[in-house]
Amino acid sequence: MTGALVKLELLRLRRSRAAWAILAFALFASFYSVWSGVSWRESHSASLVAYQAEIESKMDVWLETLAAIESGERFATPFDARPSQVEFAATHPVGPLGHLAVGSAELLPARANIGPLKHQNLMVERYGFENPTTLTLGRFDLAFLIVVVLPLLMIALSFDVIAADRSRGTINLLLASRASKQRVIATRLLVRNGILGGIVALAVVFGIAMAPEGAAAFGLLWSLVFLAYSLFWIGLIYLVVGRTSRSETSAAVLVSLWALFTFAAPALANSAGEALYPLPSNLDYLSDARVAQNDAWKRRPELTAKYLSDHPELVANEMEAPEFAHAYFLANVMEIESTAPIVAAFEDSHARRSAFVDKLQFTSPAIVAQRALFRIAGSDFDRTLSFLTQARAALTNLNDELRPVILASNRVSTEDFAALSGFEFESNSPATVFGQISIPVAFLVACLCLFVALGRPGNRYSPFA
Amino acid sequence: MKARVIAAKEALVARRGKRLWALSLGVIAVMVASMAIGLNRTATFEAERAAAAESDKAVWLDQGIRNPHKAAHFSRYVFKPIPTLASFDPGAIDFAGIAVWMEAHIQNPSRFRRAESTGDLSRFVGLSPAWVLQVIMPLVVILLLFGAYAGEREDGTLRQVMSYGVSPGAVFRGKLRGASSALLKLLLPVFALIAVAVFVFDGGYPQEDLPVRLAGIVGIYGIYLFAFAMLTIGVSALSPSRRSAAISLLAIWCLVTVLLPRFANDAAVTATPQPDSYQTWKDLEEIKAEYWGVIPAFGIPLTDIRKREMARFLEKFQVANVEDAPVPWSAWELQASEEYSDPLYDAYYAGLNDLYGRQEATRFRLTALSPTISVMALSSGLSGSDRLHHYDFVKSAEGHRRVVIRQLNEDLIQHGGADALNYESPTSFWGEVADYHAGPPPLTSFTGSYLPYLLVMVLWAGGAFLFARWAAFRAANMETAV
Repeated sequence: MTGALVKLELLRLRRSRAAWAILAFALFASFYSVWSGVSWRESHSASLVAYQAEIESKMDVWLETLAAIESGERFATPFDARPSQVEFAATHPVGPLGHLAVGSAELLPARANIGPLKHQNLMVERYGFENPTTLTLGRFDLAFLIVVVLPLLMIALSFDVIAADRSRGTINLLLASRASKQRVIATRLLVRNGILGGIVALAVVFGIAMAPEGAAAFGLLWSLVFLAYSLFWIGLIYLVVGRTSRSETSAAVLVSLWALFTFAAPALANSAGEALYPLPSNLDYLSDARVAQNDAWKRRPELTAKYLSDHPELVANEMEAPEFAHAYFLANVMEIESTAPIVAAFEDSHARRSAFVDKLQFTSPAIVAQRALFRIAGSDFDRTLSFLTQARAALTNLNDELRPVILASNRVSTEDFAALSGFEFESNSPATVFGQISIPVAFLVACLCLFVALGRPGNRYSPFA
Repeated sequence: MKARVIAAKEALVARRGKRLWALSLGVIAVMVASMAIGLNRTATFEAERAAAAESDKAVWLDQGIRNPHKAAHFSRYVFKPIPTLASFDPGAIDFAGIAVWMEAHIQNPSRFRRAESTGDLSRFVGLSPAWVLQVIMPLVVILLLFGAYAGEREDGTLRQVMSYGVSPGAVFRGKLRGASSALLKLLLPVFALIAVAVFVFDGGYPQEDLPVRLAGIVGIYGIYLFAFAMLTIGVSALSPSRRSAAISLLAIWCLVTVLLPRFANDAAVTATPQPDSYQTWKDLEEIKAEYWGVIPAFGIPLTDIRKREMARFLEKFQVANVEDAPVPWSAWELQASEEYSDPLYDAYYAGLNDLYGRQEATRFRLTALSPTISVMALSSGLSGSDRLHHYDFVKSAEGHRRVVIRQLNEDLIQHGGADALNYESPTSFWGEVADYHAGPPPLTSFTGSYLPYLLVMVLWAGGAFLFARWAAFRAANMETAV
């Protein structure tokens, strides 16, 4: 019986121009979104690699000069190979599946210059040259397609899955066979959405195949979330179309639920998060940083003298370094110290807001799916925050390592330079990401189970009771 | 006369059905919530701006005695005023920097985009009154009017009306009046609420042409929603039943208000990629280095430009050596380098602006398919929160940077003497450096840029009207023919 239903459904789909249009749109939109994401990823990654290479080559020249001075091959001027000129590039690489969910990645900083002459405020390389108009709406990436567009296409394909038979008067003929109503609905839903889901799944597989090496585990997690989210919507549509007798009512209810889950709930959750856990203003941070820089500037002789009186062994130096090197370094260190509370407050507020949204996400499957897909892709806000935290820590480490030689106007040796910390971005492993998304994904699966249980004929709430 | 009767009947049906009241209440509730959020955000941001500007001034005045060129490197910040109407439509405000560092030698980009700290959820949608009018209101219009013709046809009342000898034109005029009346009842309280909110409660930076801007907002949303109303009546007239009308219109709504604007945006940045931030910054630093060669430029040979400037300096003061001039060459050169770089920065930023313009042109082409793209552009423009207003702020900040740096350089030229590098300005001098006071620009500065969008909106509304009329006449004639 099921086989006959499937064949009948395939025949109906073949004859429906609307279904062809929806499937063609899904095919175009899903592959377009992957292509668009891949082109973004390639240009962004190439730019990061070029930045890294440029800083490394600059430091190679610096190191050669230092080696030449050490070996006596070159006369040293006060400006040559000073420790204050040390720089390391810190880059925030595109996440393993960043091309599938560009998310906020095109908006957030991805390059920082770790060096004693850079303070936190200017450590992040200048950015923000993008067109604000185009940033406002975001990208048409695969995550957007799955979270927002796919449910809508599923609704468009499925809202009249049984009501059309009612309006045509063929429902009794259909039910006169041994097929139950719920089996007819379930079979039709699975056939229609199976084809649609299959098209998007092809794009997902294609997108995962376009990922760099080592992203297979993330690809598996991404597919899992895609499957759970799609099944959630099939379950919801199953319940609604079974409960409503008219197709326009089914369409209205389903579109309302879609608008609630994809627009209203995220907008309200976002607004509530902003209102309840406001982040310290960037402008407050800037003001604190400038006060600290100004203070350090005015107190630089006193601060240098104090440090050197604590460390008299550092006073001997072969040649005076430029005074601005001390001054900038001290101002930067003071700025880091004085803005530490506001940076900590920012991180604390963000953590509390994130924890709040973690709870609120269960009000909407779209939020659950978006957060999970962004986390797996490595395009989430938390990852950028982690990059900035790691870059700040690297700057503090470097300053601690270079402080004695900078303040004493000495040079670092090539041997000591090789031992400097530098920067290496540490990203989450697949296991960590799985831990982060397991409960939300389990929630989607639990919802699906609930919909199936409610839809069973024996259940008093079943639409088929 | 007959049209008036039909319009009265439409109004009666709407009242009895209670759908209009329920939808009105729902819309007003969402508008109140979104307006409250918008007002709070604007007031907070404006208060932060004012506090930051105060703090910046205090730090500047408190820097003690200092070399004016060192002060020019520390310099001051300019903060973007948040206009009153940003609480109605935040537009691109959160995605454009709000502070510009007026450093010597270089035109910095604006920094601190608020969207960078709002988290991932803001990528879904930002709840604002403008968003409600752009996305939710068309849906409300559809829900109100989808049965205008399809319902009458399904119930057999359209044929009945036609059999009384009522002309198709009269039926259409009646439906038109009914739709306009329903739309007005829905929109009047909404616009009244917005007007009260921005005039009474707002804490944003005042916009001198606020009434004109507000009138423009009422006008463009009126045209936009009229276009949707006509589209709904037309589709309803072509649909055999309420069901098919509702479904077709929901599909159109999703496509026009949700999918196409996002797709147009993506197509714009795919066709004309965003500038690479690092490359852009390198280009700006190259402009800075064009005059000096390398910075710091101690002990390196003079660039050709510096040699040329030095010759000009010697000629101006009729001396053979820079040391013989009445003003210090090193200080004079600082200002010369600024004047050399200024047009280069102007050209570079104009090029960036052209790139953004090309992106928006791609987006504009898709307004033929979605009036939502047009209304978004016009709404943020009228609210003073779009890129054009931001660019005006950037230009104005740059103009102020040039004034400040010139003031500092001239102090060094006049008082620096032979040892200009070690000259230190007295504390009292910092108070003489001008503050930034420019507010949001007037709307008239950008009228030309918005006209194409307005034209498209009007064409959309006109086209939708003609479509509705054609479909309504066709439906009425078909009923008569049967």
